[in-house]
Amino acid sequence: MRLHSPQFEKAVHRGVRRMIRVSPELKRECRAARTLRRHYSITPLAAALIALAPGYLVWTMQDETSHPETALAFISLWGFALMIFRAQAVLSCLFASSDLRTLILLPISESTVFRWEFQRFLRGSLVHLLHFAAGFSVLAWLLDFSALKWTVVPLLALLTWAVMISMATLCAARLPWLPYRLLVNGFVVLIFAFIVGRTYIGPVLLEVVDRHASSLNLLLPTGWPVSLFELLLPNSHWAYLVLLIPIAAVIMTFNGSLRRLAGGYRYQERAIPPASDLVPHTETPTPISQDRDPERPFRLGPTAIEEVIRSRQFLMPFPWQNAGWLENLLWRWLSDREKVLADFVFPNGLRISASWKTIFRNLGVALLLALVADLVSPAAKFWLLAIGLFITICHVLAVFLATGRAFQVTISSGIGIPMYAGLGIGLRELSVFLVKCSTVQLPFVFPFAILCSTMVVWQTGMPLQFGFWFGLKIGVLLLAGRFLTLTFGISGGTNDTARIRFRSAGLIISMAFFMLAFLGLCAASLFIPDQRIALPLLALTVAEAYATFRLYGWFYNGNRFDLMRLPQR
Amino acid sequence: MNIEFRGVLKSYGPVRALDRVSLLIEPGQIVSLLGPNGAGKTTLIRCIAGIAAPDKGSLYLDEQEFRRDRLDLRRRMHLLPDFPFHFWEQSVVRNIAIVLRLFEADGNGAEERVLELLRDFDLLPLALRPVNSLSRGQAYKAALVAMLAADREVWLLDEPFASGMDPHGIDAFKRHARAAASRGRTILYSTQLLDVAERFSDRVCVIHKGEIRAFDTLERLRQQASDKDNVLEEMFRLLRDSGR
Repeated sequence: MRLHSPQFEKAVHRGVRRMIRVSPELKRECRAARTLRRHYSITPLAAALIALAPGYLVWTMQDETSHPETALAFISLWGFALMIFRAQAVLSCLFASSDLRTLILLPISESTVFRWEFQRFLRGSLVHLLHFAAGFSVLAWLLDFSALKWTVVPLLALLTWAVMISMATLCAARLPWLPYRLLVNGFVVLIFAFIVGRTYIGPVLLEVVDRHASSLNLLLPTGWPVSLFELLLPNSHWAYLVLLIPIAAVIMTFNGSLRRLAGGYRYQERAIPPASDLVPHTETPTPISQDRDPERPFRLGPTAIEEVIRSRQFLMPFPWQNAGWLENLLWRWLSDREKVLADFVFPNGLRISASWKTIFRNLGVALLLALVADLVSPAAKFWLLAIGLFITICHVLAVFLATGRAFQVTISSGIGIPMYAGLGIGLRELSVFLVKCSTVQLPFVFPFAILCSTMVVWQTGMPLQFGFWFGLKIGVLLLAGRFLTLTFGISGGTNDTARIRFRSAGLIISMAFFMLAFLGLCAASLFIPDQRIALPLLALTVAEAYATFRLYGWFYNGNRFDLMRLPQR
Repeated sequence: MNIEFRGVLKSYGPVRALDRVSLLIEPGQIVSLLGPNGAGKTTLIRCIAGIAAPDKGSLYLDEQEFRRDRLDLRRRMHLLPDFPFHFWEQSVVRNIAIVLRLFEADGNGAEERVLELLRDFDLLPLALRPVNSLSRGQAYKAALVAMLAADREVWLLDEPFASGMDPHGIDAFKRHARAAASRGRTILYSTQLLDVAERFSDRVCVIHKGEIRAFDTLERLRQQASDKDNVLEEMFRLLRDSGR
């Protein structure tokens, strides 16, 4: 089924042009609209630059180690990260695309919409082909490949891309519950950490990848097609051809995954069972009759509802203060107004202590498994630790930097308006509350950061003292990062960067400058070994992050932009 | 609360949503905002609520320049967009409670006020249901009850009569709005329904292409019009003709 009719569109265009020609006013409006349309997007340029990044990094790795296997392991890792990213993208494209709301209203079958959205996803994924092509091409160029070998390079890139897409689709179809967004954010933090501490982290990472290159290429599914590159190297072993079997198996899952996703693709209105009455929470819960039919929704009669209202039970905030030690501490610290804001930001209550218990339990399990695995293989120990740390760090970031519903946007007349803006909530009071939520977690953040960094320095053979300082500083930097996440959270519900205008140019330039300064200060405070210099720099980093937030607040209060997220053109 | 626009200009690209608007809205009135689609009605409401930022000019509330950090001023008004702000998985009363607490209107008597409003809007049997299980009109009424219970000085409503409310709900809203206006509240709403505006407003504000074309009582507008029975319709016809 076609959604576009070129003939109809041409006829409409012709008619519109005819009308514009005869009306001077329409001509003026048309000229103005052309000015509006003339906008330049930096997305293609950014995509091209990112596509070149694997090539540059492969070149660096080959230059540093002279081991093609290490460069290939990097391509495998890159492919793995892309796989997670695309798994998130396929779910977003199919189930959270902004055009679904319109498509629902059109007489189009679900299979057509599915095909259309999936094709859009595939088109968006094509750019990643360039990533693999850049990585393999740079390596082939550095290894002085013959013309014959060069012909295989595009095929390998295509094969790696196909495996990556098949795996992403498989993950979306079979494991849709995995926290892909959280993992993607974790990768972003890793990249951020790499940019900040490239001089210090770079050699360590390179050494780790170099040491585990062969196991990485064999363990990661995206490493299987990458390993075929080794067949093109001198003294290669034909046994790599065996990898064609799992590669074929992965690619063959693609159709099955598509069928599974398409099978669950229902976007029409669902007949949901009638909702039960939600009785406000109290110390003495409302008695519910034991002989009630569990199939039928629970209902209170009008008199009981009146009593609930008259008793002011519904005006009581969600009682989260007794959920744990941290919640209790936070509750005592919050002002009355902030307790009200807590109800707005976390209407289902705050869960901090339980999350931290889970974090430490997961870290403990990872550590234990790593110690057991050490008896069998040091490589297995390393990877178990790495995976454990990655997952728990992602969890910590989600808990520590949580913003709940603070910046939730409601669509109204086609634009997104943040709820806080419409309900008379101030930026400052909301931010103070969220900063308090983070600060109260510091007694857990510092031990966690110190423990993690000690594990990393122990694994990399650095002095343990370095791990202590490193962890301490990361804890402080996380708190500084809170100010930046607040800034980005607010910015997400505004049109501050929708168009570069004179009014917003100052904001964009100054924010870019402050962000770069923050990165520089982070790197300096983390990696300068002399603590007499590093600690003042750390304090400066926190002050700088706070200043960035306050500067944004100044623009905010000065009405320099709208509190509306305009639809993307 | 006095609401005063002083030469407010607001553009979206080349489109002037508000073109040097100067306007004084005094308290205790029901003001209907009329105008063709895209005339700037919603933008005007959003400017008062602090959501849209004027490119030029200023907004004064009780002679004080409005800034987003003036929470004391912001909390004296309440915005109800065409698709209201809701915590959809929470019950109607919980949504109302959150709004009341945010506007510090949860003091003694709040429960009786809420109860009365829920009865008036036929929402009492639905008071404990999650909002996402209600129809659009019912969800809008839930937000309206929160607004009426919070009872701020300025009520800003975007297209309340195109919200899916049933006739009984519309009638209840009009009754409460009239009573609120007599208590000194200002009710500012946008609509496309000329007959509603004619019967339910103290003043009419007609906007066209971002400019205020008329801001007066209906009586005064009638005196100036040739067709005295269809004053708003005539005005719209003239606006349309002038736009051609």
